[in-house]
Amino acid sequence: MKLLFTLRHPNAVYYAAFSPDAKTLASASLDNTIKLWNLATGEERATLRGHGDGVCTVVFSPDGKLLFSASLDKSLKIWNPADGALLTTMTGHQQYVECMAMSADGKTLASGGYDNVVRLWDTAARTATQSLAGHSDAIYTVAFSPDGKRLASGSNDGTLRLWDLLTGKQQTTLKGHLGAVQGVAFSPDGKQVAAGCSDKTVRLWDAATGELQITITGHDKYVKCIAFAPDGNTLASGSLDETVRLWDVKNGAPREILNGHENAIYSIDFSKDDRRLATASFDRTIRVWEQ
Amino acid sequence: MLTIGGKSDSTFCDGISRRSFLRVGGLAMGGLTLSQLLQAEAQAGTGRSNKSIIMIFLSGGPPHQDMFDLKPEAPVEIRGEFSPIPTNVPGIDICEHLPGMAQMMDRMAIIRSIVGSEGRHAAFQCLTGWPVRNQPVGGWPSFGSAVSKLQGQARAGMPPFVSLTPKMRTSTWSDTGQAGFAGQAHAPFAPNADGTGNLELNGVSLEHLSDRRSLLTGLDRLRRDVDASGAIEGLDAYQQQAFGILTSSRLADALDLEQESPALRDRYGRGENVPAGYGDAGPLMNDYFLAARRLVEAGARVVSLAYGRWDWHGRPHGTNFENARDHLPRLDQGVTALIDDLTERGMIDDVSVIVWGEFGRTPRINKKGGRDHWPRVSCGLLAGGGIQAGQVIGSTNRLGEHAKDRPVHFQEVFGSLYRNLGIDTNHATINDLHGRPRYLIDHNAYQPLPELV
Repeated sequence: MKLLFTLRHPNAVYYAAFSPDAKTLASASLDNTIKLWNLATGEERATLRGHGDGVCTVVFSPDGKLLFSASLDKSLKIWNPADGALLTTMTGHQQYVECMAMSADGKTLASGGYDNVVRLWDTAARTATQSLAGHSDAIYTVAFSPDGKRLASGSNDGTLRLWDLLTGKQQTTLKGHLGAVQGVAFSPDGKQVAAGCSDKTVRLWDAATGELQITITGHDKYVKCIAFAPDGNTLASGSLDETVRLWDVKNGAPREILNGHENAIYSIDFSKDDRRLATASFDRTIRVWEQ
Repeated sequence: MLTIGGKSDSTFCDGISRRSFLRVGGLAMGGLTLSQLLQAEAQAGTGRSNKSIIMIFLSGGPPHQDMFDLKPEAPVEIRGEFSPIPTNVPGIDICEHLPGMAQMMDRMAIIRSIVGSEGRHAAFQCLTGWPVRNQPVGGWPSFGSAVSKLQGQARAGMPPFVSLTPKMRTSTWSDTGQAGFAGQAHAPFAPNADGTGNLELNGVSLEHLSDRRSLLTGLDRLRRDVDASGAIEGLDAYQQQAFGILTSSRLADALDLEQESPALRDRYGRGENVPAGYGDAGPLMNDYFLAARRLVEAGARVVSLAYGRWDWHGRPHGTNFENARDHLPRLDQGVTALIDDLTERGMIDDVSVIVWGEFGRTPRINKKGGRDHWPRVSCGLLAGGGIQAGQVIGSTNRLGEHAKDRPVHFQEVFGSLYRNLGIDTNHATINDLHGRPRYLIDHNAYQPLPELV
């Protein structure tokens, strides 16, 4: 992949997410703002202000008409990305929110953070619907299965848990890693769960049986974030070692190393058309890479 | 407030009333009028010297073991993520993220064993040398105020003490330096303290002040009006000096970085004028370093500034090491540019530069990837002022927990700074509000560092 744009915030960037049509990128920063970028030109389109602390995650609704953000200020907000208007603020977390994910149908949000609880939110009613308790330390990452029936959560307590969202009960704990779980993702077909961990590894489990399938090594420092490419063949990981690495999902073989960031990589997102990759870093930049 | 005759409601071409303009000085200097300030200086028996100090305060407590005192042999939970690199002085290693400083270590001195921190999250001890507790009536003057009191103005049109520290959410870090019992006449001129962070002069923007044509047009008209009224002849010497500061372009020029070449500004690193890190501290504004050089060049005796946000407790606001990777290269660029610039201008032996914070950080990395407060020991960097450079003073034990040999107290550092300005801390005193002479440091316990001579 080649570097297409380097986009800048005046402080660390925690997350960058493509809009469904891949024309806009939203970025979340420790500068308390969200920026919207025109991906045709690489120019900043808008800065959304309203959070009172760093913004840790952003995600677009499937139709691209809403933008959701989660912040260290303990709140989640809903924005209109067309005009930057703040629509709603949702509260409930008692401590910093660190992570957020949206179900594929856009109906449910999940958020986690330093109160050790995963909260589920109805995006239409804009209210909290459920709490998943069990982790004993901060929750760093959450991901929905593609069918929306399961949720994976990774924590500083060292566990990676799978939850049944119909019952609200924990199904299983995936084992094999050592240390905090930093990033988690389901494969597009829902058959695998991948996690990046403090032990510098990326691991892949069978989502149905919980069997550990592949352990990928190569990063020099802990793995902070991971993402499957939409075609399901490639897995990307970002690390404190300042590299983004692309791996073959079948066998864990390395495919490519993306260099250029100068601090920890905090997020990775593939565009839906599989052509682009956005990486956000504590080095204050978002880098947009293209096939 | 200085009163000038003439129409009070007339305005300059930029819309600023002349009365507002004259008020600039009074408000910026602790509410005292400039004439009172200058009168107080004269009463203090001021001297003349071209020596000056630039203090860079690293708000929040920088990690000594990740900057100047790495512990590569310590267990992983203590040594951290960074490796030491050799400097151009054999035997002195510093952090890999300070490569510029490593290449000019022969022009710097490191103190690895600063002790005596009160443990307070505040600039106070780095500004005064004294703890907040048990202050004399009126309060200890910050060292800039003490220097202002003892030495006065070095050059007409330039306040002796300027603080570039901006307003911050954490007010104890945005302390620009109290005048204390030195008197409000010696409070710092603090152009960023109003929170605009734009090098503004109490609402009069630098853009306005540096707009030479409008400024001079305005001042010429003011002078004509004043002269016509005959008021200027009626002013006493102090008022005339005050008028000189207000109408001199020296201060405004010094703050106007547009007068420097873009190449030099790039060399300093410019910076981002937004709060660094968690958002509750100052920005990483390398422009302030350049402004500090311009201010001492123009005649300021002491320039202090706060830089960044060094209180790195860990996630979710970034680990100690992520923040260090963010801050250290910028500090490295700014400090090395400043020292090079001072050297190239022939000022380095007259200007002392000190870089430090209120305390060090815990040897053991916490579970959030941070390091917490550690008042037992901290570090500092000194350059210029004719010090003996290329050396490390003091050391800590194997884990960086405490000073192993040659503990250096804050007041010994201040003793050295005062000495570099030609002030003898064994004799110089300032009366407190009871009229009792107060030494600048506890000279019975602490003396200037002999290693630096």
